[in-house]
Amino acid sequence: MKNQTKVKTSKNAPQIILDLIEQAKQTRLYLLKRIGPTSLKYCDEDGNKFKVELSTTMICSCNQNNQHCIHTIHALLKVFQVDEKCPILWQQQYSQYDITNILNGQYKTKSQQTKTRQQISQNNTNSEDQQQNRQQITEDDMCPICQETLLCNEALVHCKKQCGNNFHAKCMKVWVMQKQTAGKKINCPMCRVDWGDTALVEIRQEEKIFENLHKTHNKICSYCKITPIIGTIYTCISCPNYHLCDKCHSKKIHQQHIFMFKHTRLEKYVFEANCSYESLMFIFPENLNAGNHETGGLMLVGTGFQKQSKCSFCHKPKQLRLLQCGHIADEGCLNRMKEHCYLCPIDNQPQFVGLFNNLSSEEKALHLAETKKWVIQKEEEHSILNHKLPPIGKHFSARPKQLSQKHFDNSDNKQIKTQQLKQSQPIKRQLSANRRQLDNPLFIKSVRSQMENII
Amino acid sequence: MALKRIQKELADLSKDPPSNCSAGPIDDKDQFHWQATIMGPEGSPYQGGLFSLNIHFPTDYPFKPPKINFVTRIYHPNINQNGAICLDILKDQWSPALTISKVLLSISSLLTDPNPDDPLVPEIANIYKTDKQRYEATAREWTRKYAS
Repeated sequence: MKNQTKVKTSKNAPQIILDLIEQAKQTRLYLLKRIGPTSLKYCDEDGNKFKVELSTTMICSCNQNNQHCIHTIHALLKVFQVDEKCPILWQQQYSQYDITNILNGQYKTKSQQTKTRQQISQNNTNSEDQQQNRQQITEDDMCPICQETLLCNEALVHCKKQCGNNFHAKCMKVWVMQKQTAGKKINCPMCRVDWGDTALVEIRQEEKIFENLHKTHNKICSYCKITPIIGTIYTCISCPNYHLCDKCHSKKIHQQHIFMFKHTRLEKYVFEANCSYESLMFIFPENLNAGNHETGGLMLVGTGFQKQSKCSFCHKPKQLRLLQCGHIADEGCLNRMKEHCYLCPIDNQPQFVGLFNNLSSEEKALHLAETKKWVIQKEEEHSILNHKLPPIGKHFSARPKQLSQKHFDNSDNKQIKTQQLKQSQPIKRQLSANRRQLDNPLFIKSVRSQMENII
Repeated sequence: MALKRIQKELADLSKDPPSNCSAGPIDDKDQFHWQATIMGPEGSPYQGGLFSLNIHFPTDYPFKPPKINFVTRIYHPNINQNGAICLDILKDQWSPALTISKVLLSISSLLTDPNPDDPLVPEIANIYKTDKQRYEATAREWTRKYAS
């Protein structure tokens, strides 16, 4: 009851949160792993990974300022199933009480629960005849026709009638067209079931859907609020989550910052042609929107990357930033990389593709060679450091162990030793007899009387 | 596409070779022309024989079936004296999902189980149906004569 009244009296959400909610609904994020009850691992469609944590603030590895981002909102909405209108969603800090309530599902509304259930049942009935028999695709799966991997950014079709095997749409199209011109029935290459006369139309539809999907970006235009952005998308490299559609960009909005753009979803962002090399160099990486990894912003290595919190080049755990290729660089190394247009010295990957592409081929070769020299030098230094002899006292005990002495004993020595042992045995026996006497009360008495007599 | 797929199949064959057959291009320059060998399957009258076959890939492979014929002479109701094979998957039942290794496996099983109801050489099919022992004896003799 308490919660319901809370919901009713709540103020409206701030615009930023409303935008984020809308984006979170549109964006497809994959929950990779639930590390703990409050800790989640996310992956977006481009393969970037994020760690989201629910603690006193919502922590996400995509930004450093512990503010809400699309991932934290998504986690609250979809994983913890918090109601959209519940003010807990835009709270900046959480108490222990709030967290337990979120985990117990106190902020779910009843209508939402029933709705989701209805949706699930509806989805099941709808998709049963179309999607359910589709076989799941893994990275190793091949197109049975061309024997190439299925997941290569191509439109896919599957046998809806029977086996559910997946094919590249382009491969299937050739097969279907050939069968059609021969005047034969179109059958599935795997199970031979008849696909019907509309097969070609369906494949073309599938291709079109894929193409459109390719062109759409699940982002909101920050100016005209249109979503999703279709066609070219422009993103500001300095402001977090600032995107523009083609129309708004042509109106020359937000001119104070530099934009990057891309046409299709799987492309990488590139700089506009009128960007001068000098102006770009001035920006990197300090003034770059560090959260937006897509534009080449280098994330500060924070909570999500504790495991390898060392610079990949000089192995110092200082002010680290995550490079796009997965390596980590500290401030010093990053400055050094700046001289060479941010080429990763280990795998020669340019961190800012636009920046690197602006160079002439000679300059590219020069920078590649320089970075290579640098990393070799660094590695040598590192190996020398590591191969210093360890201090004696720490690793080798000062006194050699008896075991090792025995190990070096010859058989002759052993004989001598046994002889010595035999000789020493009677003495030992005497001693033990004396000891036994000491325990005897009669013996003690006699000794005592002797002592008294002496005195 | 054809060449790419042929090369892919060749790589797969060398990576995971099938137990009773082998295949590969005769000349490295002409990837569309292969030679294959099939070992006579155990329990059949062709046991102990080594049969070689010619494979010609069409330019629109895998959408059209490869042309396969026996070079070694063989006494079989579905294989004639020119080496032509009567096998549905090499004709109208071809599917682009089939590969050379699967086709060779099918031919190998055709040797074990001939299909006398759809014969290419009716005389052999007739003998196979009426006097199986005679068929087996002749097949064994031909195998000894031509394939070993």
